[in-house]
Amino acid sequence: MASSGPLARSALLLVGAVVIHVGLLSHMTPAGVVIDPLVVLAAVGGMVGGRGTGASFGAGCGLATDLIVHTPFGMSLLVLTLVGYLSGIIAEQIASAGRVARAAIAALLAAGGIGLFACAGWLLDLAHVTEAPIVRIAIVTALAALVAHPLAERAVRWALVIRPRIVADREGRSRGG
Amino acid sequence: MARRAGNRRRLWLRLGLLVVTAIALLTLDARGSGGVLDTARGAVLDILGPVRSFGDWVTGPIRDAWRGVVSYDDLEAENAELRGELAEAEASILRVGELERDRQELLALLGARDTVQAIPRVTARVIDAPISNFERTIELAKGHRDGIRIGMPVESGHGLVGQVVQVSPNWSRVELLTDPNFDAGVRIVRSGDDGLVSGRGPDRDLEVSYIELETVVIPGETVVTSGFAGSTFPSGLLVGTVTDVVPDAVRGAQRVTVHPAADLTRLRWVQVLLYEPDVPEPVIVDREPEPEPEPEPAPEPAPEGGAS
Repeated sequence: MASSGPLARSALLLVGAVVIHVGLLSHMTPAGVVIDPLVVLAAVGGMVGGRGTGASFGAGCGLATDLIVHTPFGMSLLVLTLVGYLSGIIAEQIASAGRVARAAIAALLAAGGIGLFACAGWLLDLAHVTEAPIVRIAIVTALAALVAHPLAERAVRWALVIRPRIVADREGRSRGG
Repeated sequence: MARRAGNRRRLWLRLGLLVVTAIALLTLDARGSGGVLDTARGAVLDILGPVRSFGDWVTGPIRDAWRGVVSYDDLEAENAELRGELAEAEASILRVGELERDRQELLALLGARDTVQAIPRVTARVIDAPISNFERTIELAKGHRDGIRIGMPVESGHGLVGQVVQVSPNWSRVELLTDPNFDAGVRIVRSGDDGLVSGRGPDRDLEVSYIELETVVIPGETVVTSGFAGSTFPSGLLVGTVTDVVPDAVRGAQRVTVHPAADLTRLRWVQVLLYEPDVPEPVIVDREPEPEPEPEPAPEPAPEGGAS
């Protein structure tokens, strides 16, 4: 499994996330909100992989969302690509942030993704998107991202074959010594 | 330095490519030419259908228990209310039975048929768990193998629920009538005035537009589908009851608020009406009539006693 490429791993992660989404999370709705794991993954993807990888990983998340949700096809692809890219930009600015700070940033980015989705809905004149309780959805999604961040980060690192910095530093030091 | 600039250009190129792809897909979807996209969505719906069903089965008891704990008082009040309604309903059953017999006799006398009752139906189980916060659809555990097609109306025992918007072999997705994308031609039964009902979002009543200012509309009146030519709904499907009427002098019409007859929050089983409208042939009216060919002059009769 270690030799399998990031593409196959990412696909596997996305399929898993979709199954959890439709099979479990869509039935459990805290405050009447469906927690979307793909928004959280897109935000974490950008933070872990940087802006380029984040955009591609976000696009994968968006495409998966477009296949299961009955909104205009391509809308989620557009939004989550931008979420992944923006996450990458922000992650570059806070490269040495601690675990809690990273989780908080991921939460803010996931909430921002919901806001971006609402903006796209407004641009496309989709009343069912703009009339949704955006603030409540953003807050619940942010809280979910905060809680799920450690797991999501680990899963995305595995999928994109990116080692945590501490491990990479340790390996580099042992090679150098 | 040049390497960094190259990297940045590659990143922008990648982002641009993804954004352009998304916009192309959006355009394709908006033009309604997304046959491949619809097929892909249908296939995914079919694959994930059993997962949804299983999730519904597993989480159902937990959700019910949670609902019982959280909203015990509400349930108790609702129970008392329903008991009252049941007693009322039982009293009116006899009266309704008589009216129904009279109606059937009148229909038989007129040689007419009850169009709504005559439409074949498919009963389907509902998986009532929206996948996204930005849509309000329900999924049915039956699809085009059972005769369901896009556009078919869906109703519960109480009234219209919505319309089928996506179908795969074994699953289908229904847009609820509260969805802002939903609209249908309706008739206010007492006055006979036609209007257009539209959804206004979840947990909100419907709005009927194009009702003339002169029409007297009283709260409590029944609203049914009008079933005009080409409509995807047959006439006579119960939509709801009028709750509010506001005259809109600017538009020269009234805004009528309608409460849906069907309880959209507790749908377990629904019926899909296998109704396909008879779309009339388009009539071309702006084509100029072709000039009629001038009659050929009749051959002159041969002079009598001519060369023979």
